[in-house]
Amino acid sequence: MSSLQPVGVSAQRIGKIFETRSGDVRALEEVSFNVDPGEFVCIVGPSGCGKSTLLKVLAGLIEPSAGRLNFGDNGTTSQPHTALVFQEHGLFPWLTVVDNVAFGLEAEGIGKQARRRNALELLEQVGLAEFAHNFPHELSVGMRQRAAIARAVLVNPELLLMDEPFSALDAQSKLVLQEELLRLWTDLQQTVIYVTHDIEEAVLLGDRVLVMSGRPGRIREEVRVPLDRPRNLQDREQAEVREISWHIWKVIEGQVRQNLRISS
Amino acid sequence: MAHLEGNRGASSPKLAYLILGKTLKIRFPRTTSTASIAIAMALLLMWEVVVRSQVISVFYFPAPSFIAKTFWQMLSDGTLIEHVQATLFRLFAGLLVGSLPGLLLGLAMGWSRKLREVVDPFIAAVHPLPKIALLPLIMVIFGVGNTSLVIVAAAAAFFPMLINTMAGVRHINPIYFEVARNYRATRGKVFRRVVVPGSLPSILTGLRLAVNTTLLVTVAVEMVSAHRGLGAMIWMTWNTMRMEEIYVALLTITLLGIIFTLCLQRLGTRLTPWHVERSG
Repeated sequence: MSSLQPVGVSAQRIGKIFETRSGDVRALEEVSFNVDPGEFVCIVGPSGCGKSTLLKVLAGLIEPSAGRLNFGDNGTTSQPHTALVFQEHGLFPWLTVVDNVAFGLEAEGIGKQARRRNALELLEQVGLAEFAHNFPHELSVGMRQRAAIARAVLVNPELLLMDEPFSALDAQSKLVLQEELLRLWTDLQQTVIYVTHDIEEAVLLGDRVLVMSGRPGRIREEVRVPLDRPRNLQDREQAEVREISWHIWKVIEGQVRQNLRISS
Repeated sequence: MAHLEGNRGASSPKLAYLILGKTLKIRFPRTTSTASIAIAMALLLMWEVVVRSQVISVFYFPAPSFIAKTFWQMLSDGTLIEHVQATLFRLFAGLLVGSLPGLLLGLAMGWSRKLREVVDPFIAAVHPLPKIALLPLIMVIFGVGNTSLVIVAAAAAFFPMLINTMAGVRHINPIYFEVARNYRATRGKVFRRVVVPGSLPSILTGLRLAVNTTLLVTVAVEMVSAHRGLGAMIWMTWNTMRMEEIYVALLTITLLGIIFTLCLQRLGTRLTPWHVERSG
């Protein structure tokens, strides 16, 4: 495994317009922010605010219509080594868990024996070894998401992008996986950009929270979370976390109500 | 009385199904098959009784027992085997020559939007033509013989394979392509790891349809231009007036159809172990 340094991200006035039959949709407009190397940044916002689109732009899967993206210290615009964890269905149903986890290495051209050995080692570490030769549909949603995270971590990315990885989980499993992710990040010290619609999750996990609103997708506010590291689940109960969460809720409440056509 | 017959009727084919299932290692859905076998048995019994009581003509509708006897006779003297061999050769040759290009073009068209936009109109224009109608033209070009028959059979195999494969590729969840791109997989890797496995369930459906259509077309062209083969056997009864042989041929075609279906099901579970069919 190559050992890569985490990179910083600088997004300058990113815009994205989707052309549809019923006219142009401004998914992102003038989105600017910085992420330091090794920082954990959460992006939170109501559904349809363009946060997933922003993540895909950062992953290099979508070309922005406007603006610039810089990575690293010297401000290179070339795409760094990123790994994106999807909300659901990110694992290939036709590959066993071990081959799914090894896929990133396979794409790098590493031979079958070596990549399987690495993947198995990691699966053992995270306690999924007994499911290594099962197909994803034979695993629970939570196990699948853990395997998807393992696949992303295995390629040792400079930038780890996560698109609501726990949103399909039940509330209790979600708590346990949040804690596991906190531990994992403490070990890896990678740059993480984490998209979620769960405000408390964003505050618990992130060093900073970017609050977005939609139509067009913009960053409304940047909130720093001055909570000590390492964090654990109990930090959810801290008054500070509750205050910040409530503050963020107030920023996006109007739009959530508008989406549902509920007047305040 | 009727109750007793129903029971007797159901037990022996159940045994046959069990044996067939054991040899091919396939489990049949029990409850539904029992009911449908009972109905089939009852119908056969009715047929036998009606013919024996001379309500309908033995000439047009020979008794099931007589058809079974003829089937056995033709099987033991080798004539049936000879016809089946001829048909199977044309069927498999047609499938090979037709479905393989269908598969490859289907994958390419499913993957490349440009290629699809260019080729699709031609497919749409040619697909609805009855392939059997090509036979005279093909025969003028390639002469009387197996070559012409195989070409027409291949034309029949080509389209179901092409259309299903193309649909299969197009219905792959775009997330899988994004995952592959995210990990910077080469186009070759995307093809091998996403396009092919993602469309495999549809490809197998295409193959199943191709086998059915090709069998149909093969039998049809054999009627027009062959001395051997199940189609030829059916057509010959026009001269010999041995109507029971039509039924023997139909029975054989049905059996072939069942065997192909079972084999393809088996191939499906083996090639796509991850594919969970929605049941119910």
